[in-house]
Amino acid sequence: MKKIRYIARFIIEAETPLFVGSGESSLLKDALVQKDVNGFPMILGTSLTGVLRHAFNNEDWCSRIFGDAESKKDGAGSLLKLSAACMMLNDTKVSEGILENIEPKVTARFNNLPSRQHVRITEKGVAETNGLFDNEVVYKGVRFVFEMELKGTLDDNKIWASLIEKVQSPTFRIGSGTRNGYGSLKVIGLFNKTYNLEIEEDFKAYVNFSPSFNVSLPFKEIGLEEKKSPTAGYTHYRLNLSPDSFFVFSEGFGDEDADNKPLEEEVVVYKNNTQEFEKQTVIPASSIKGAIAHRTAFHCNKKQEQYADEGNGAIGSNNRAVGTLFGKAGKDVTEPQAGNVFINDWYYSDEEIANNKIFNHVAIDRFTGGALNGALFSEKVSNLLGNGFCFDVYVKESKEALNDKIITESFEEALKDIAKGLLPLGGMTTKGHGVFTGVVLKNGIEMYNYNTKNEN
Amino acid sequence: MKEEFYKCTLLSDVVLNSSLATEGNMSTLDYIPGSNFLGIVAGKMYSKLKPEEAFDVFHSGLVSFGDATISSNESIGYAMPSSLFMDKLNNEIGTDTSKVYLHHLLNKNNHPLRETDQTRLQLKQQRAGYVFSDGKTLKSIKKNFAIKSAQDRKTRNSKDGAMFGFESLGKGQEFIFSVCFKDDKYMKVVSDSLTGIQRLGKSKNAEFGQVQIQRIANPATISSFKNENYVLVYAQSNLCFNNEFGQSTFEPTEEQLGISSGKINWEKSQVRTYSYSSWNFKRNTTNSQRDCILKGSVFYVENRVLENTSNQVGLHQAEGFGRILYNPEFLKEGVEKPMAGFEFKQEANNALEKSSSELVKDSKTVLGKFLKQQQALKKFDLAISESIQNEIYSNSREIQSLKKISSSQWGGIRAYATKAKDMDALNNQLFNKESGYLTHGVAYEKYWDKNLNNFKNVFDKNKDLGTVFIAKFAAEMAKENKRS
Repeated sequence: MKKIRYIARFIIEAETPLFVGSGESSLLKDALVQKDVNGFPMILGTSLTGVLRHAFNNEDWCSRIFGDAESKKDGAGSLLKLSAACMMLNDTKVSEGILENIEPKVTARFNNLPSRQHVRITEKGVAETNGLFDNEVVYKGVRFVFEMELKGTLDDNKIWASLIEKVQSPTFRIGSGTRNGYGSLKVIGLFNKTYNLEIEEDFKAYVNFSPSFNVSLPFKEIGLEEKKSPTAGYTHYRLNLSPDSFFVFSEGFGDEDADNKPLEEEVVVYKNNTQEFEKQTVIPASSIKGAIAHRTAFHCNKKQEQYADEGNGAIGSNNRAVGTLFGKAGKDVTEPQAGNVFINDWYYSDEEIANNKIFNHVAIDRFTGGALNGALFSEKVSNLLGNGFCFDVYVKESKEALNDKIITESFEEALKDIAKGLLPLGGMTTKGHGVFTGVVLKNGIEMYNYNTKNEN
Repeated sequence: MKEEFYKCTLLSDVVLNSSLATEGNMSTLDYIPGSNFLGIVAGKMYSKLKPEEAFDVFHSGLVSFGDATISSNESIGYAMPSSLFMDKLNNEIGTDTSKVYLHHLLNKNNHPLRETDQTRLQLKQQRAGYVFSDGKTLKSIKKNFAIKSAQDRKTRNSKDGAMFGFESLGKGQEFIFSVCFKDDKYMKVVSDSLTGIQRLGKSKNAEFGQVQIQRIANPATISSFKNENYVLVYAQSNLCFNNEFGQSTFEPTEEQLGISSGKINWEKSQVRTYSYSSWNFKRNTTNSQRDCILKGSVFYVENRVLENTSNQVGLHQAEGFGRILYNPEFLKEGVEKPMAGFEFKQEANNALEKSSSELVKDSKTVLGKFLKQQQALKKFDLAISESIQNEIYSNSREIQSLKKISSSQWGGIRAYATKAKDMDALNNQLFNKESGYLTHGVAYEKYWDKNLNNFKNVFDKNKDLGTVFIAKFAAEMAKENKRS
């Protein structure tokens, strides 16, 4: 008999924007996030369960805990129950049920979530036809609350511990675009309680346990260990970079001062349990991932001596390294596969990055030497105020990725190219923006250092 | 004999399977068989009555519990008579153009012809639906469908082979039935145990089967017409007969139909039949098979004028079988034969529930407010889409000349519109004479000099739809530019 009830309540914070899609679109956006009845973002329990189950796929207890209707052996329903993750509003109130009298200020912010434009760039650096789309994302920093309950026996406490640990791991990501910088979560609060139904006191407490997130818990918060850096099964690359001069990760259009400006997005910060919104400069992971992917393809082709002028260079997901590391999908792909490279979006405050430098450009008429009519435009660019950037790239060690020497080396070459200043990032790179130099570390060991020119 | 009428209001959906539940895809009956009401009374009274009294009430036919049929404003619904025929291509009953023909009046010489080419009309028998005394008809009864699955306690899964689809009669509908007493003695007993909130049908321990039964005075019933040469016997409920040897039969004699002389003309009759086995709850098995004549069937008895005769015939009268009507009004001849003289009208209203839009209108609950708000949002989105559609595909000269503007210009407008706080701010950003996006620069000279007013007109016309309209309009115009 299953006489033990394990219950844990998590408070999680979005370290990067979230995109748990609802499959719907609006007049202005191609893809909308999952929202609750009050119009606030939420994460469905099925999304959480799916990610969790996938993480334990190799364990022998997986189908017993998560249920398995298919196989005859463990053909039972799930023992684990996950609630939907509901958003935390001001004063630790959680968006649950239909709320009345929500502050219009708050709803206005969440009715108009940030929208990310994506454009698919070819290996030649230009936009592909029909390659533009946009999606809504949930602000970075939004907090959610969800609950997990396991029906089990005393022997299951190890499983319970590993479930809780998994949620806290840095690779526990939710929603789509987890390889594009979205969906990284941080556990900032955890309540954990075990009820033994054979003990009368526990039984009564369990029966009286309120599932509402707005009722204060009858048990205390447990301390959180400092988030562990790279977990087993992942190779961790770190790039310590500083820009040569300016760089721009552009929004695609400008403001009253210039025709083009860096991407800025609002993020949520909970101060004294009240939501506050701050504008920060964003470096989207997707723009860095694209650059690395194209360069990896180049190195992979080079190592295999497949040259483009001989009509041999495989590009995109047809390339061995790109397909394995960054995944492949689409109509023509017979076996779609998710990528193994995880990069986060990076956010910088006003103190770290300034976006006030304006460049004016004008095209010169080669014949008259004067300015071409209508060819004047201006752009804002970013410059770094602090010491430098620290970018983390996680690569999941799957069967193929990183076991293949050519793939590993091609990928590492691409990373080194960034640190060497040979692979500019962001927009307007042909104008000299986006050149970075610095150090590449692999699992904490220095792989390349621009200053000493040492390469390992 | 006394007849008492009852109204049965469905408080929840009611499942009345039309066949044994040994197979999937169950369909429900569209009436409530009288046996259900007999069952309600029997459940309460059987053990309290003396054996001979119990036999009188429940088995002898001294008390007969009629089938409950759909009602509309306390008027009884009658199963569509099988003698009604209509043009196959124009068989919506009660419309201006459709005509109802009576089978027994049809012959070789008067077969209705098509107006256009004078060929014979292909006629179709009317089978579904109900007719009310005021001529209104009801095509179908509101039914719902639900899938139910049993849960396996051990595995916490759906139990294998335990998923059922239940069709049910929708809640809120009203049915009327009558109970006939040949002996006044039992009236109070029956009436007391029938009225109130009761449960009937299948799965009544779960969500189905709650009904409220009330006595009503005199529901509107159909009257009969006088006729010299023949009598039409209409089966108001299902009929069941045995022949002289005790075998079940589909061919009742004139006597069995309650008429002492005359002859049934089978050619002019319309009889439909079915067989079923009733379920005995006590023995938990089926009774022997019954061969029945379906309600709505019509017998044509020649050489006979109508006398006062019994309107209950055949077997199983206690359960509501055997109710008949002689010459009901809806089988009356019209002036122009073979048309029916009864005026059939379209759809009666049996929906008691308010429509969803009405509910939203007068709801003051939190949920009501929320739904109302959602409805408004949806409407607003639709309004925007419709206006964009109208604008872009209009042939006006304004729009046609706007389509020549480059898609990058539209992209710029879209970018401003998605970011602008409101229409006034956007107006300023786009049209401000000094700093507006559209009022200076090369693009102004190239495109907007002549077109600015055209766009401003569209802008002003749709001001109420907000910046979303402009953003989407610009996005669509950019595509139009590429297409042309």
